[in-house]
Amino acid sequence: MKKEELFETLSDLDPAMVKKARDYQRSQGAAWKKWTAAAACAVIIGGAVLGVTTWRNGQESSAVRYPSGLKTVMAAYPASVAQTMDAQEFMESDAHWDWWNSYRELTTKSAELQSGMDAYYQKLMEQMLVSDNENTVCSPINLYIAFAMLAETSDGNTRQQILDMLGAQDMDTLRKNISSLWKSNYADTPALKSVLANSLWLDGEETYNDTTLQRLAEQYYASTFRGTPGSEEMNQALRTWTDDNTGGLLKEYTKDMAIAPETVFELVSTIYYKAMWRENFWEVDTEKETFHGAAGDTTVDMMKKTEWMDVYQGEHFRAVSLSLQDSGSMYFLLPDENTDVNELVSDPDLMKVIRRDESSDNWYSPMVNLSVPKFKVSEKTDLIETVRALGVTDALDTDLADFSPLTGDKENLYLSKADHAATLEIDENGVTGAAYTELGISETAAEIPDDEIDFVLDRPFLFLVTGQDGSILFSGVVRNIDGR
Amino acid sequence: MEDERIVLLYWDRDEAAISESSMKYGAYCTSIAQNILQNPADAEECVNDTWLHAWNAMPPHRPSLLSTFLGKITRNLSFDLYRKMHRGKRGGSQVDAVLDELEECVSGKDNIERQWEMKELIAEINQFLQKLPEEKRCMFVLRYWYVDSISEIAGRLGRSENYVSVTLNRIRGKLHTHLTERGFEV
Repeated sequence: MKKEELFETLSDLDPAMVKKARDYQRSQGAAWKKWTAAAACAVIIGGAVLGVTTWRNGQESSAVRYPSGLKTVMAAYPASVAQTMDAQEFMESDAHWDWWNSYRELTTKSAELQSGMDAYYQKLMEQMLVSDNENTVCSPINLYIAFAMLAETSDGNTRQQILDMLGAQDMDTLRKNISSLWKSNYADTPALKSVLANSLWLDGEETYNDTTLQRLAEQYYASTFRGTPGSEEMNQALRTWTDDNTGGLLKEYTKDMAIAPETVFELVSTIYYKAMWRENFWEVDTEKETFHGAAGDTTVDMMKKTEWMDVYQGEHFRAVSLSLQDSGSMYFLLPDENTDVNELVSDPDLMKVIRRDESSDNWYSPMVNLSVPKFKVSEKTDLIETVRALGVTDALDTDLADFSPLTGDKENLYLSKADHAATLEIDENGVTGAAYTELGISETAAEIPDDEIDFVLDRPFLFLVTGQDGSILFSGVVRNIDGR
Repeated sequence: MEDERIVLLYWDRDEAAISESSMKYGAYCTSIAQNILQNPADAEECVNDTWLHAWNAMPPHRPSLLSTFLGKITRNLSFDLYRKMHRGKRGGSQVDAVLDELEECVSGKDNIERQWEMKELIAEINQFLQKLPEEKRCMFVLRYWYVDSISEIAGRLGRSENYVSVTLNRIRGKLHTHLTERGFEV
């Protein structure tokens, strides 16, 4: 057969398919047609987020939400896009097209920086994700931003150790990274929420360096709260702010948040994320099946689809990725039968998977019978030992810690609290996650196989969620799933 | 105007059918002709001929998707004209690039005594494409039906050009294997 003949034959392609291809540019996929039912759930969770948006734009006085005894300066966040539309309307409108074009431009710069962050991601995950029996989850980008703020408030060797942990050469590099990361991971549209926020909690009786306060406000979009550490008023405000900025998904942890009386300042950083699969799973295909968890078998809802997919074949694991609408991808890494999922965390191939070198021989595209369990994982971690293991030691030592950029010559300060909480959930429609990091500084008082494969995630596996720029937003290991 | 009513106009032999088609699908057909011919005057000629061919085709045809019905006529006319003008010549045009890519899926031989019908072949190709994820399927159709450029497709799908060409390359490889395995010695 000649090529011209094939070209002519192709004119008889299924007309419906031909029509759809040209429509695809605006509506980006039939998944949206099926979205109506799922939109209801987005609205409920979105309720909390909408609240955030209104006060962000200053339409609601902060005094209404925060006690009057607290002096607050709210940061000005980028406005949300097309607030009045629902997800489907937005996807089919020109507003999406315009937004997408400008957003894509913003993410390109940050994408170039990502390989420089790989060492940080890998070291962090080795610390955060290993466990015997428990599920683990964290938000690497959220921790990065929180510790970047801590670097801003510190100096000397204290600062250097934080820079080393983040893999940043100097403060200039770190600031550039933060600016790009923020721009490419801040998206607030009817179809994608990737909302970042920072805040600074200060003692109303203390004085702080204005230059640093201003930098945190302008470059980190940090809102400032001044009050009496230890007071219920301030604790309540801290919980409200964190809940608002995490879509209320971490209430089981935020209810215990409190600022100790001896606190000189606290930094809190949050992320709220909700994205939809580019092509969703069909609910009718979901079946009850067994998950062989680390702590025993459970019956779970297994979501299914069969497609040609890009599969990464590593030496000890196999990975697939599912694209997220307007954002990055979610990667599922399944260790081989005789490999412990903990070993995957430090596998040198881990980063190769998400950096997707398309020419690599490890990638191939078989027909995949994919089975992914619906799951939700949540975890709160005390980071003090993690931070120490990552080489940040001076900040923990009252004699060595240097927080002079914010607190001037005040002595005997140290990093007394470092908590991280994260949650991530997936279902037929997409991914929802949230995380916060709370850092408190106190004074002392204290091979290529077949063409068709089964990819069944029915035993412990590792996951990664990336943004459009390749930032790792969430990572975790699912070892057990509660039975349904 | 609704497609069904335009089709009825053709069936009623009402010449308004042509102005309505041109109003609704003129730009659509022009983009296809322009992709193939890359010359506005030639493209216009093919689009005008499209309405005439449509007039002759309806009745007996009663297409359910008028846009692709008309688009297919434009595509065929444009390709005929392209062949007439480029007999023996090779230019670095869009359609040349598309043809070179399609060459990877076929032997390039004249197999007059083939063991299968064209109808079966296209049915198999349709089935193959149906199984692809939607984005990849669209990528294939945009490139090999509409003759869109790689950069245009990348812009539409929000992907890098490299991603698009690598993906298309893989789909072509798969299509060739798929057809060969099913006894189509293309």
